[in-house]
Amino acid sequence: MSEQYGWAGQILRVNLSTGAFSTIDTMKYVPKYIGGYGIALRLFWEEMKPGIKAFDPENKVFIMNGVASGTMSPSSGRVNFLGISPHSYPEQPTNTSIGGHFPARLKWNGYDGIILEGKSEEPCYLVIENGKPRLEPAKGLWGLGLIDSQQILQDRYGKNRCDIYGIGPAGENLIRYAIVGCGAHNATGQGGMGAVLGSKKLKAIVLVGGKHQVKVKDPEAAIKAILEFYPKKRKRPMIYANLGDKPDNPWWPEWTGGKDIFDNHAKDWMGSIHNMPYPIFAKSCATGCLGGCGFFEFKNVPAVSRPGLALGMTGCVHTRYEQFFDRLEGEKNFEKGFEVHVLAQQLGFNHHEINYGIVPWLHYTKQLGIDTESLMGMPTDVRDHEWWIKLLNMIVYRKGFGDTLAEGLRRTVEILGPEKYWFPEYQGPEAAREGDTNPVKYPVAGIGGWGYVSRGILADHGMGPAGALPGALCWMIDTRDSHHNKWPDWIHDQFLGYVMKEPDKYGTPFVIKWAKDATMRGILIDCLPACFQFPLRKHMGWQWDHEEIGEGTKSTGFEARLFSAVTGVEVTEAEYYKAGESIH
Amino acid sequence: MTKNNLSTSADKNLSYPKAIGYISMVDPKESVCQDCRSCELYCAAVHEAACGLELTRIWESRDPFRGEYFAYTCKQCIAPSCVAACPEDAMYIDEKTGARCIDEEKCNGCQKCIRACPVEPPRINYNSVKKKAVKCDLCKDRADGPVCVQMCPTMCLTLKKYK
Ligand code: SF4
Ligand code: SF4
Ligand code: SF4
Repeated sequence: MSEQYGWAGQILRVNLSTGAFSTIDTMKYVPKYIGGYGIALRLFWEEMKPGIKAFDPENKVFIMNGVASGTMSPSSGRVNFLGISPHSYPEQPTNTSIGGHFPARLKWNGYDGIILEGKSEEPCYLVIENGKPRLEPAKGLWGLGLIDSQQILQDRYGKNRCDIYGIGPAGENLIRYAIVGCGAHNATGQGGMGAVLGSKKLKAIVLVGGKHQVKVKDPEAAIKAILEFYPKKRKRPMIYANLGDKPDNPWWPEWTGGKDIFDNHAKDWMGSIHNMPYPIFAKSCATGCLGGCGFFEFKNVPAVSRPGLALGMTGCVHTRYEQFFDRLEGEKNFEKGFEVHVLAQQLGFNHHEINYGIVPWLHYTKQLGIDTESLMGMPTDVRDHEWWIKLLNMIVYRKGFGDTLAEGLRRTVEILGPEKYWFPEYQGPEAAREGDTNPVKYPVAGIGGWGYVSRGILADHGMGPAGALPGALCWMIDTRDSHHNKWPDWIHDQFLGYVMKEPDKYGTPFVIKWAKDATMRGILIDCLPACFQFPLRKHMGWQWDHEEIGEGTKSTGFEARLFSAVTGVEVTEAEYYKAGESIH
Repeated sequence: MTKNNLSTSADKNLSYPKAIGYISMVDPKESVCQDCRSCELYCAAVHEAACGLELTRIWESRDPFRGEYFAYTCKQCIAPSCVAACPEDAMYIDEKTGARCIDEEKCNGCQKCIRACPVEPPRINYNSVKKKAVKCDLCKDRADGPVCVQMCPTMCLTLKKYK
């Protein structure tokens, strides 16, 4: 086992009902299933019987890092979570991923993955210390916020000595869209894996130390390959600027590629926060990140409704919290959005469901005169941060109508009646940014594939076929939110180009090939693993010596080369792609 | 590889040739650490053809709850206590770079160098598999120089020259 490259050689099985630990041999599954998601899927189909529901003790969570985890392979600090999802409609197998330094440390603890099965009687947390697993009681942690409980665990096991994944009260209370999170920002996002851990009474997984050494077949060859697609490096000081404004934003030309059409995209992605009186720091969110794609960490931001200073990271879906407040008259508007944002992270919510789903739904139904206020028992005011705090608390502690919203927007409209509460079309200013963008037009409930609320897919770009088709196609062939592993700009660009030029939108094989390629690439990224921004986004302020690399058109080939450099198993791009096909 | 140029323990009390410099962070006004650990991983990989916590010669310190991130490694001290402490004469000064280095063949794993390093935490790692101490050698054998500096995505690491 010690002679192989990349893989650690074993996967830890944890039975939470009995407290028993065992291992299975990774090498039975590789190189055929590569690693990460590939092995997780194989194990899922081997071990899971039909009919298992998300919160049954028989549901298992397959947490897999990949062959490149714990090495210098770029953006390799990701793990995949696979299990029956309580968030998906209907409940079905779904995968999701999360970053931080946990994935590398899992490998350094000698594991290619963890399988969680059964259900603990009492709240507990799993510790793996220098490869040795044990379960500890979590009584003093149960009920605490996701960030607070991690801080306690970090104090207990040592700064720089441990990495933690945990859940907040949302996971404990089986909110169907609860996250597993780490640090102040990272999350499994879609899928409700936090609620599955909550159903198993598992508060956290703490990795401590780690002595395993991950052999890399040819480091200098890997460095050579990495340097080929390394973006041009640039110094990154703290920035004092309004990212939502063209003249202020130092990255604006690069974010938009100089094309007007991407102005809105650039704002939407990271930028449209105004009146932000704090320096901006572009932090990476995973081991080996080449660039910090555009998530910004703010620290020492004063809370508004209670004493204290908050730290958090905003970007992408997260910026919505701040955007709801940033143009209001009066004081401390950025701080209000930030406070709500950090609270949502503490409680362990999936931000998509809250700020692209439930909050706009309450707002749009009100605009159309559909009464959701009496269900809530309070008037809806999305510009009042106290209203947000009440809403989040209602949901997380399942108070009143919060108990229904805890089931997610898809199930809520099913309970209330889709004719009245889902399908009516709203047309007008977008909930977060009144007056800033073009009016939007879509159903009051912004529900995408498999019942998820998803940023930019199907429901809310209002871009016609260019916005709706790619998402719809990806959703048809996979249960993961396609926004999260198949959606870098270059793929979108290709599709946009096709929609612009092709008069017969549905009569060519392009769309099928596009959807298949996007899915294969997403799957292979989850096997290596690499961040889905890999090899970084063209419109994220990065430039390359070879411009075609920014287009990402050879990226599956890069992944194949990295796989070979790490493992010593020679594969061509075609063979690597084929492995993706057999996994899917 | 440059051989040990400190022939006896007594010589160690004499002054040591200065290193060309040491790996340091640039002024935060210029660029900041983004918390990626790339420096650690490349450092371990080029020296050991493996990555792991006991193989890296540079460390990133991180506190995600306070937003504090920085990297640190050996200062290549003008008067290196680690070199003086080694009972096996396993430590030597590289002729080209002046880096304070450990001869892996001679190192017996006693860790006296680690205990002698006056900075906190000590800037020498211990590979418990091979039972050898490992430390920053300024990547003296690499044509492209220090790999941490080469690969740090934010360009926040530099070889700070001793004047
Ligand atoms: S290891 Fe410690 S004592 Fe030795 S040169 Fe480096 S900083 Fe100085
Ligand atoms: S100069 Fe080389 S040996 Fe020293 S810390 Fe940097 S990468 Fe490691
Ligand atoms: S490579 Fe640079 S940015 Fe990354 S952890 Fe090291 S010093 Fe920080």
